[in-house]
Amino acid sequence: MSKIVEGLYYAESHEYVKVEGEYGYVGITDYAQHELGNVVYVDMPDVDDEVEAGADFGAVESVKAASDLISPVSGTVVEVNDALNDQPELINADPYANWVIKVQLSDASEVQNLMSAEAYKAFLGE
Amino acid sequence: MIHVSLPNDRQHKLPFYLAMEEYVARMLPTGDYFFMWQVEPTVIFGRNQLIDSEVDIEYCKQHGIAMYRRKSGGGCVYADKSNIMFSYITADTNVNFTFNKYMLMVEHVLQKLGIDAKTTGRNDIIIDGKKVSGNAFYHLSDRSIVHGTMLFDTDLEKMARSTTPSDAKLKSKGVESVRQRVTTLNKYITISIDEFKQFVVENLCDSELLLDDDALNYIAEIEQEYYSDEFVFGNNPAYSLHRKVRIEGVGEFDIRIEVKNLVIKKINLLGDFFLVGDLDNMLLARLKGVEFTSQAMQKTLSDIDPGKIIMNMKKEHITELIKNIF
Repeated sequence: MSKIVEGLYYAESHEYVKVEGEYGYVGITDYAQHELGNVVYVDMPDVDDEVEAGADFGAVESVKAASDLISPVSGTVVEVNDALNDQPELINADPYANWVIKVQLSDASEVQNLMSAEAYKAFLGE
Repeated sequence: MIHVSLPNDRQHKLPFYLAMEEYVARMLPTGDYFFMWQVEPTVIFGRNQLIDSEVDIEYCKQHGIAMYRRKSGGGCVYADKSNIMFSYITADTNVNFTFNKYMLMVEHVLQKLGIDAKTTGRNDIIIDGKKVSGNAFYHLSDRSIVHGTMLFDTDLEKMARSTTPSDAKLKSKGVESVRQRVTTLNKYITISIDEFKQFVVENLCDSELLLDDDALNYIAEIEQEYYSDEFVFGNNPAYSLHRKVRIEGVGEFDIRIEVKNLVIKKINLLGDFFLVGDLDNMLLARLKGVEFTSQAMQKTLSDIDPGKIIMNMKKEHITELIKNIF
């Protein structure tokens, strides 16, 4: 059973966002990392790039597949998780601790379109 | 499964077919879609591959072999008119399930032709222990694209040469692994390439979808991204290089540079030279973020006085050092 963390917001494409003030930390869920298998590369945007809710902003490549990263929120990238450049496998170890991008949210109300932990759990059918 | 076909048999470059896959994935109703295509000699590297360490760029240019990046994962492949590319698009998004289901379908078609084909691991189909098909997976938000090669009568010499990086260290490894592991279907069957394609469609598909002009226009739009330098080269993953340069009267320099998207991310300089100034701030920090070209680096350092950083270091030594990096 996949790990789901309370208090985060989840997208159907298996990204999460953890909101802290005006910022959101975006990563992939435990279900997603498990589904993809061993991650070998994370294709991340640059700082100052704009992301848009529902649009792709990069990709996670595993030994099996390259999978688009779809942003659950809109805003400006203020930080990327550089540690993933050298150790992409951190995503497998703990996808919630190892977010991919930190976004300055342009519309905090967007998270209302996402699922709660409970709703995501039901969505996964677990 | 639905066979997707084009209104005419015009020749297209590789990006057209990748865009066609995307069109099917993004625009068509849920379903299983399949089509095959062939291109003039082309090297296709995986989404996150460094071209320089996968491709003999000079060889490709000399022989008119096109080079493109795809959005699926995995390694570099070579395609020509005798390498039939298979594209499968489905709404199934479970990677393992989708991959296995598709690979078994293809394996079964080959077996029906009397070929002793087997799927291995997750990505290859082999005959007699030799690879005849390699497959890659691109997972969009709610669709999956699996595409792969089917070596029918491909020029294996050109394949080996073009997908061997010119870097001497990687060279032998690449050539051997490609040449030893690959085989072509025409060694096992006597039917023509067109007969083979027809057999595949008849066995995998039960209906036909002919793309219209609107679809073609949409595909032409998606296609453009694949031609852009930003997509082909800008998506090169970060890499690091290491150079040792000896400058008479100054010392030995051990340079390490990390480059991403043609920009210097990190630079480090070690050696037995004698420091008289602040190397980090006066020299190295200035190069961070600078374009990784000889000209840009020279320009950035044009106004420094090297003798105030490293003993006996002159301006021409800086030029020499940079020249030796490239």
